[in-house]
Amino acid sequence: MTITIDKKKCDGCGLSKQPPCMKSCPGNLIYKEFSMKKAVLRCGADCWDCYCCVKVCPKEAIDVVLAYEISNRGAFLKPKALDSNTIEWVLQDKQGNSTSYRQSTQYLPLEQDAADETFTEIGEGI
Amino acid sequence: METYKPAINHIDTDILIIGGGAAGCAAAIEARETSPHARIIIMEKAQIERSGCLASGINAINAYITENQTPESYLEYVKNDSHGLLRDDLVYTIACRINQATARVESWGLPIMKDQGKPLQKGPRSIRIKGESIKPIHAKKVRESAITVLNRVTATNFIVNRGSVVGAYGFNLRTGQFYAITAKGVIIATGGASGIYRSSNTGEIAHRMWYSPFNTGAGYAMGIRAGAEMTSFEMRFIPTRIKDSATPTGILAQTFNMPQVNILGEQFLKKRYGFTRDKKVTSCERLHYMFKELKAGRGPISFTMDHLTGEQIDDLKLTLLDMSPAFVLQWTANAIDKHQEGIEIGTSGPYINGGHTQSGYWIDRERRTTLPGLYAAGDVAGGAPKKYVSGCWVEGSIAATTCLADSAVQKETQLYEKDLQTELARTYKPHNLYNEKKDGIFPQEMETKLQKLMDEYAGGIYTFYDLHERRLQIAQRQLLELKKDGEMLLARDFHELNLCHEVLDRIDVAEVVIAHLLTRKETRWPGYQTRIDFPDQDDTNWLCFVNSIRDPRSGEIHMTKKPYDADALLKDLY
Ligand SMILES: Cc1cc2nc3c(=O)[nH]c(=O)nc-3n(C[C@H](O)[C@H](O)[C@H](O)COP(=O)(O)OP(=O)(O)OC[C@H]3O[C@@H](n4cnc5c(N)ncnc54)[C@H](O)[C@@H]3O)c2cc1C
Ligand code: SF4
Ligand code: SF4
Repeated sequence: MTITIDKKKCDGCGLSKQPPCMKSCPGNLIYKEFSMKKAVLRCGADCWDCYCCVKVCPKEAIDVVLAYEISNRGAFLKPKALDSNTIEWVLQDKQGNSTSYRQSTQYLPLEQDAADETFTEIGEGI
Repeated sequence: METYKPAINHIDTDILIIGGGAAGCAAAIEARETSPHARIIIMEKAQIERSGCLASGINAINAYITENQTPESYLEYVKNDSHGLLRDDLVYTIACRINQATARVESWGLPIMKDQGKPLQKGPRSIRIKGESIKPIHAKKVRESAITVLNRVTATNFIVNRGSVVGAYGFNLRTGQFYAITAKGVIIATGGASGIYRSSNTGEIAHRMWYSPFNTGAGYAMGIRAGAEMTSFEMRFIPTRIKDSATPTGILAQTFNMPQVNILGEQFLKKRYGFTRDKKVTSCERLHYMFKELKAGRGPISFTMDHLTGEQIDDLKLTLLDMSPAFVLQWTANAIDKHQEGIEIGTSGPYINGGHTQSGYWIDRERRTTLPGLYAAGDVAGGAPKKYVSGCWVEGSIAATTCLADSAVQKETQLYEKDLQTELARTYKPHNLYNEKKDGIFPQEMETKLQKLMDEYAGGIYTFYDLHERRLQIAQRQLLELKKDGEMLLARDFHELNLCHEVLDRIDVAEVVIAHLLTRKETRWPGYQTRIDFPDQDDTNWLCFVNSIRDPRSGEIHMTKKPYDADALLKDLY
């Protein structure tokens, strides 16, 4: 379906050539617009709503947005890694009631590839 | 404009594994443990930390020998569920090792839920896990095992010399660089295929599907083009799933005991069709009878949850966060009331899949395909339904062991310039056509057209998944036209070039699916394969496998009936 990337919160992960959001997407749907220092989604309809990018963004800039045709507005669900063994999910309904769920996990941040540093995009955004 | 000249990386290795998912990672790690010095490469179109079916996490090991089960009882169960036809040898060799494979992944860090030291059961043959990070856990182990991982490199074709597979081609879907990897042995582990048919969800929500929309059947297509023998593509996988969100339902039905009812509140499977604890409904029948209810006007079908306490509902939501967080959001957003509508059930697919149903490469007990040098494991391998994630691990291990043993005696791995040039031209053609400002078709358009025709004529949801000879012939004809249009695909960038290859692969898979559906003139798996022109199961003529080989030269698909002999398959096994 789709995600939104909050332009105010996203800083493109500084100089990173391949920010975690971009790295984690199983569908290669996110790229970095280097001139703007922002992450950009290629195509909303191609998104699997898998939350992989949401979980790894250090700025909590990404949200999964379900299409209105199947989901009413006003609720949200946000994961946050508390430490390497816990993700806290905050689930809030329309009325503003929120519940939090602690998910025990083996949360392993994405490791850096040596290749990341030499990485350049060619043919992007033509 | 000049033809695009990509940087070309030619790498030689001992073992090449295509697809770094459950099966691919297990194969790589097994290969490293068996052979400390072998050169091992994983070619992966995404990033192995979050790729394939497991990207979002899962909450159970769906194939496990629990306390009161044995490998024999497991085989019996799967055989009954597949209406008497499967590769007993493959299922049995999986069953014998699934617990061991699970323990191994536990040792890499996978948290398994326990009750007094014993794994907590999800259902009779499955156990619960805290699997949010199951994929990063695989990736970490791969990285610790000195395995070279080529992330974002999508495989396009095998390198074939005189009928043997000696490597694969691929390109980086971000940089456009080309890879030709020659290897003593190749393991294909790219998973099954989604997107062959129009999904129950369309448009903006088309990718709200159960299977990974990024597993596009590349491994099948590469094998089909190289002339590998394939089996059972007619046994499509059409799971019943939570409506709209396509979330798996097993945890609701089995762990939380949520009954399935029709609009009248009847537990229809029992009340109307006589299924009980002793006379169990099979997976495909579950779909079949649900549609019977829908056709009779007694839909929608839902899970009721009045009996669940608030605490249990929270536990269920937490469990679902390990696999389908989007559904938890949807549940809350739509304020689904536990006393009112319950959780409605729909369908997802049809998928072509060797991990739930049994479509895929025809392999021997040691996971050799019919092409020398090529081994298959996981959802891309055929003959062994209900292997799930743990069965994929086992198959990855077996394939790696066989591949290493065979590669010790193998063979020159020559890369011929002529073959390289042919594949280069084929790979970048859509990008070159775009640069030459040619008129053409974008991959998204072609994908939609393929899915529409498969849906309407080859048994999609448009016809309640029902099949008929005449309709299939229409599908066949239309697909042939579409295939020709493949020459007109356009790609603006390398991501889109990847989309072009995905749709080309899907077309090759679809063609074989139709050929299989046309061949089996009986209804073996009602729901998954309902031939309304041949509505009965016909054991006299069709208790056999339907296999296919596409001739690499002529492109013709040759169908064969492989006799089924369970005793011969199980010889020397037990
Ligand atoms: C939503 C969902 C929930 C599930 N839940 C459970 C569960 O709870 N318990 C359970 O036991 N099983 C579950 N399964 C099934 C299980 O996840 C799969 O059977 C298993 O992951 C299949 O393993 P695989 O290695 O064959 O495929 P995958 O794990 O999908 O791996 C395939 C890999 O190949 C890569 N690839 C694809 N094409 C190419 C290409 N052209 N070039 C290079 N790489 C490529 C993909 O990116 C991916 O990394 C679930 C499946 C899904 C979709
Ligand atoms: S990870 Fe977050 S902050 Fe970094 S580039 Fe992506 S969206 Fe922006
Ligand atoms: S939710 Fe998943 S599929 Fe969608 S952009 Fe994020 S990582 Fe990609």
